Amino acid sequence: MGFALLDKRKIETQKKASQNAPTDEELINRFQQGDVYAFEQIVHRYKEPLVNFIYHFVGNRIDAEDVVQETFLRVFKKKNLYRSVAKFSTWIYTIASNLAKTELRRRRRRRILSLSQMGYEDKDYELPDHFSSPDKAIERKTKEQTIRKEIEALPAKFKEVVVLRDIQEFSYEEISQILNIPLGTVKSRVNRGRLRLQKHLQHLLDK
Amino acid sequence: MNPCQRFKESIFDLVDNELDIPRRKELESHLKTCTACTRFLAQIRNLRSQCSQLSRVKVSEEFHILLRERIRREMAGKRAVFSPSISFSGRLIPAFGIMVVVICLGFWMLDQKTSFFEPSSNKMTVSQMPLIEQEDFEGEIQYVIDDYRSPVSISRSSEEGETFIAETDSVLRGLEQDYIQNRLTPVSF
Repeated sequence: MGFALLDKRKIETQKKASQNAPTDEELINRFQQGDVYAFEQIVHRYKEPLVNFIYHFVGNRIDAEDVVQETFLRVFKKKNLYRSVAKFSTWIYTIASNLAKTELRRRRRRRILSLSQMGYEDKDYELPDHFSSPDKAIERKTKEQTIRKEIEALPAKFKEVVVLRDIQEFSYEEISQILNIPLGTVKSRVNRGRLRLQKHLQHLLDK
Repeated sequence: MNPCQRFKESIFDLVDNELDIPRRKELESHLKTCTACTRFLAQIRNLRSQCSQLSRVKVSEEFHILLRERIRREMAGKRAVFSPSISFSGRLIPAFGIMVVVICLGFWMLDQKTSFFEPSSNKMTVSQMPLIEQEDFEGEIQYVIDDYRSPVSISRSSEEGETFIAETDSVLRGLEQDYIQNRLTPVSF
């Protein structure tokens, strides 16, 4: 497993950190009963995975955090709309995904800088400690930036599924629920997205 | 059509661990002879690995502070404004209250036998009230009431005997007759 914990696995790890750690569904249930501390735990558990998820859409940390804060605010305000028939993670990712799309539409209307022009600022990343060699760190950083730019350049419908599947590691069924699209469509889009990335990143992937 | 094309889907399923055994065996035998598909499989595996290892975006230290501030603002707004985000059932209660008030008002108006649209019905019968000393007077007399700016016109109708008809703009309705009698001051006759 890589140096960076996968987002979804990080959530699972946090849950299993203590045998008594409540599940997401238990937390939201407690919050629905008025336990605000349960909401704090939800924020603690989801803030980083969600910011990383939204980052791929909006292209910078500040906007990503803004969207995620709005996501948590919606959860706070609309907590009673959550029904235990669905997984909490699916619900909160659906909210975040919809808000990210709204943000992108708003930007398009205002004709702000295109996302590909914004670039990814180095300061947004948490570089792993064990890349002690500066050369390796630079090489790694360059490689990452290239991969991120190619992901960013994907059409939105491919990008969202690739991010959810290959970066956030959701199952196809979960992605289907989050985006409210058929399972077959999810698989098809993931594969087409991967195919595009493979074509554009051949020089990196052969190494 | 490229014969390797149909194996691409199997390769994607393989990296997702979703390839059934018969297709897996078919793919494995194909990979033994096809360098292009072997390379493609390696690239897709590498791509997944690279994606999963992308470094994380740091969440700023102000994240919690800003979130709390946002929630506080939201809660303050909710208290200050007539709750715009209350639930559907919460909206029903004031709507029901308004409906009840409107219905009561309607019944009250019917009881008064008046209408807002017809001036001729804008009359009130003040029966058996010796409002004016000039018993013989027939016609319209204007009065003022201390509490109201508009003068009140009262006319006596001979057809109705001792009954006085007050042509008012509703200012007298609902008031006790003794109260009206004590407050009326004739201004012209």
